[in-house]
Amino acid sequence: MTPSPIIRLKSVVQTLEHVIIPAVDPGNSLAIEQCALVLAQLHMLVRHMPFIGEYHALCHADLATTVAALPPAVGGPATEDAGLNLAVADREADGMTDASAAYHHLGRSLENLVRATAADGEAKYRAALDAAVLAFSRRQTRRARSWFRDAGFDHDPKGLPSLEDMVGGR
Amino acid sequence: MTDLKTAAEQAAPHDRNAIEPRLLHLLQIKQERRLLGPYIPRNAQEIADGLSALLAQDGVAAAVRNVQRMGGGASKEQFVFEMDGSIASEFARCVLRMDPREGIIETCRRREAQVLRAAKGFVPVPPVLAVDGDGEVMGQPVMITGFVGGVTKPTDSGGGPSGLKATMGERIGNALTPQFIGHLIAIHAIDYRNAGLDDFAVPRPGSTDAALWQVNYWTKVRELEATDSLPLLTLAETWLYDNLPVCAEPVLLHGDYRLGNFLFDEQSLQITALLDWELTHVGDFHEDLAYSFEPLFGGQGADGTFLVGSMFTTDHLIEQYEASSGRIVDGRTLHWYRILTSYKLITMNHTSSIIAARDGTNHQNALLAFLASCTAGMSDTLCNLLAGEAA
Repeated sequence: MTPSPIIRLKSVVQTLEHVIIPAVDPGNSLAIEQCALVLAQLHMLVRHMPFIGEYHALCHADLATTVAALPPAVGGPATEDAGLNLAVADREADGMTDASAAYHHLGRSLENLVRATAADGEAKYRAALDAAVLAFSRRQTRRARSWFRDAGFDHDPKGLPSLEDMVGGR
Repeated sequence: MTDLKTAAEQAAPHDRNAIEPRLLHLLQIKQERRLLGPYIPRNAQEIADGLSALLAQDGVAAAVRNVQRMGGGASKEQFVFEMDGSIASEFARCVLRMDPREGIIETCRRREAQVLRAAKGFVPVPPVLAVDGDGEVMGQPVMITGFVGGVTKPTDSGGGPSGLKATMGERIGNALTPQFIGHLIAIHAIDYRNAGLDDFAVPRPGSTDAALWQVNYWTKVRELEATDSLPLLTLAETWLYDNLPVCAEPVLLHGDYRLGNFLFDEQSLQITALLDWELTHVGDFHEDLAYSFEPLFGGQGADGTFLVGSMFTTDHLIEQYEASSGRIVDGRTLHWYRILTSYKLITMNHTSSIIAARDGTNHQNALLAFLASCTAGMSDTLCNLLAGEAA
């Protein structure tokens, strides 16, 4: 347990910043660019480290709640099969200890249902499913934007919650 | 959600296998190349040796010297080098663009060289010296062009990789805006039918081919390369298939027309070259316009208005484009192509970038893993677009 992963990461960042990067050939523009990216990524990881488990669990919990609230699948054979498969995937994901793996397992099954419903789903059911997926996506996108805000690409970083607030569900 | 059709209305299925043959071929051989494992970037001497062999094969009597890696860009390995010998002055200094084993996008050097030659004389482009489209000499596909001077962003502008989030400032923006829009219109006016674009397929006028081929291509990329789930992207996929617009008159598109993909001279404020033609294809002019609306490729003015390339408003772009091209921008078609833009940009970052970074098959693995975080912001734009809201 000692030293903690955060101390180990921070020590790497400091060494890179103050010893290694100053020694890189300033004429090697690609290497200089990569150094800046490596540092930025490591800084983000230092920030993420304490929250990774909570973040993944929160994402999976919201997806599972979204799936649980869906009406029964109505449509042709593709839709009905995908609906049954989603229920199975939900149970399987529930039994996984890795929340990230559980999220993607359930998410892929939900994607299959969206695709199947577009092919032979009943119109009213499809509208409800698509609306639920879009509403979930808005919440998930907001979480992901907060998670990656420090990358510097977001179009409205000031409007996002802090990592602490986001994983706290605020 | 906007414009969802009922299941009955979708009775006529689209041909989901309709993809430009050259692009599909490249995607397929990429899957085989992945099995070669991690990529170790080559050193300058290895590049010099390969260049010498390639130029000798092409009958170019010149010696290669001073090979150096270039920074910038997110897709291809790039080197600058000089040549001595009996060669045109525009090739005294050259740029080598070489495919990495895998990257954020899989594109064709042969197509890129074809379109650069086609665009010469219409818009400023680097001159093409040599192409090895299948990597027969250097092991990886390459293209050599003459070096063109200029910068992709003001020297003091800051910003992120690949020209993202750079700011131009009022003086530079005012000077570049008419050139930027004018060159886009000029590209769309090139007669692609007689331009030697042998590796390009052309969608049928008055059909949904142009739109369908794009959705098919990026959906194929996801099918082959997705590692993680993103339900939003599948929602967009189904919406795009439901609402394919008809393209009356296909034109030559740049495909990646944005800040970061052109050079300008900081003294004269003239655009010296349009770069990165690797996503060029024949399609609907709305596609290039819609690409400019992506927030990642612009910035906000003092009043919070979105500015394309941090230079001008989207209203200005459309007004100028309509006035100079004679074309009428259709709002519904533009909306469809904005969703396509989100779909393809998220696909690049959420699938191909991740898989290359995971497997270590690129020369900038750290960049690809970092850039993938763009997906979050772009997903917000896509949510708004699918909800029919301003984004």
